[in-house]
Amino acid sequence: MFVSKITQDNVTESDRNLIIEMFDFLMETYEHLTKTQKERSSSRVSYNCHSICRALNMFYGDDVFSLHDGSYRGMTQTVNDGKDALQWEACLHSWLKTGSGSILDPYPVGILNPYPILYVNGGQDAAVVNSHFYEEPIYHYENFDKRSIASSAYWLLYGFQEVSGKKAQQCSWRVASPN
Amino acid sequence: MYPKFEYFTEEDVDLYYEMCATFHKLHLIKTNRKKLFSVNCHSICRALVMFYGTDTLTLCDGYISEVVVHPRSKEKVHGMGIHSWLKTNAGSILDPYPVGMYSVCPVFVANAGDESEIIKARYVEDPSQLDDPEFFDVDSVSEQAYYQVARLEEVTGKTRASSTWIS
Repeated sequence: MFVSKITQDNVTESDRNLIIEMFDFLMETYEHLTKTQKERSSSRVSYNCHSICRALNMFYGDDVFSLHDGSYRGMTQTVNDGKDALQWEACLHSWLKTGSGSILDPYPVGILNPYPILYVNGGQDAAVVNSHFYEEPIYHYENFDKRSIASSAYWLLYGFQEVSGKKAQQCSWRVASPN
Repeated sequence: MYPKFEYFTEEDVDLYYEMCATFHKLHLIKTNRKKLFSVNCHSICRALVMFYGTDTLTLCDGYISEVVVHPRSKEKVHGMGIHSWLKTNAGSILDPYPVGMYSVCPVFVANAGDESEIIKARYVEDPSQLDDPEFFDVDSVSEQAYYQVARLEEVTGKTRASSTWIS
């Protein structure tokens, strides 16, 4: 992998190891669940950031990952009356934070990566990359479908346990993030 | 199937996985090179274009544009940083050296879906950014790029598509 020194210096070694460990683990889980669904001929369960983060939080426990809800914000460029204009765009999002406080995003907005992305927690780029994540309660929004999120989170949790052979640290359901 | 694959062409997903496997191999091999130099986005992107060929990847130079709210003053701050990245034939962005992110694989931004606009908007093409030799040292970038192409050949066992330098 190619990582700048400034990025390397601003993520902890334990967080880096966690990312590398999760690299194969998540893909194996997605593949295992797809296979299981086909075998059972059950309907496809769709995942999203809310369910993946809740499943990972339950599996690893609060000591490893804290759960965070809010929106992911960014500026997009548009043309208004023939002039370039910037406007805010935002979408509901959930993410995790590691014990060191770094943001770990297992389902990043607009990005394909099925592997989590770890954001720097210090240095010149930290303020910029972290400012996209705006924490706020989201469970009252209409498009936060609690029933579907719970169902897909527990389905993912089942996959994590099957693939790893380990039990989840906690199984209690959190509609809202505790933070 | 991973849900986000629906936003990418099959060709893009295959290329992405091939690249992930190659990056993983690069991570595992040790370099014999005694002279150390800093790796940067410009050289890696050029190396990948030479390796995969211009039929597969297009080199983009410009800057990352970021508008953020300052954590203390709450004022909007417009930041930018010179950057190089790649585009696939389908128009998706492949960033092998993303700013502020630690990722095992290149960051791959979709060319479809509403959410991708937030990310895509940051990548502003402007090759003139590389005109300043203080930010873009051609000799150093080219030395790094050719070294990285040789490493890509070593780990994949494949031959580069081209050796032509892209300035």
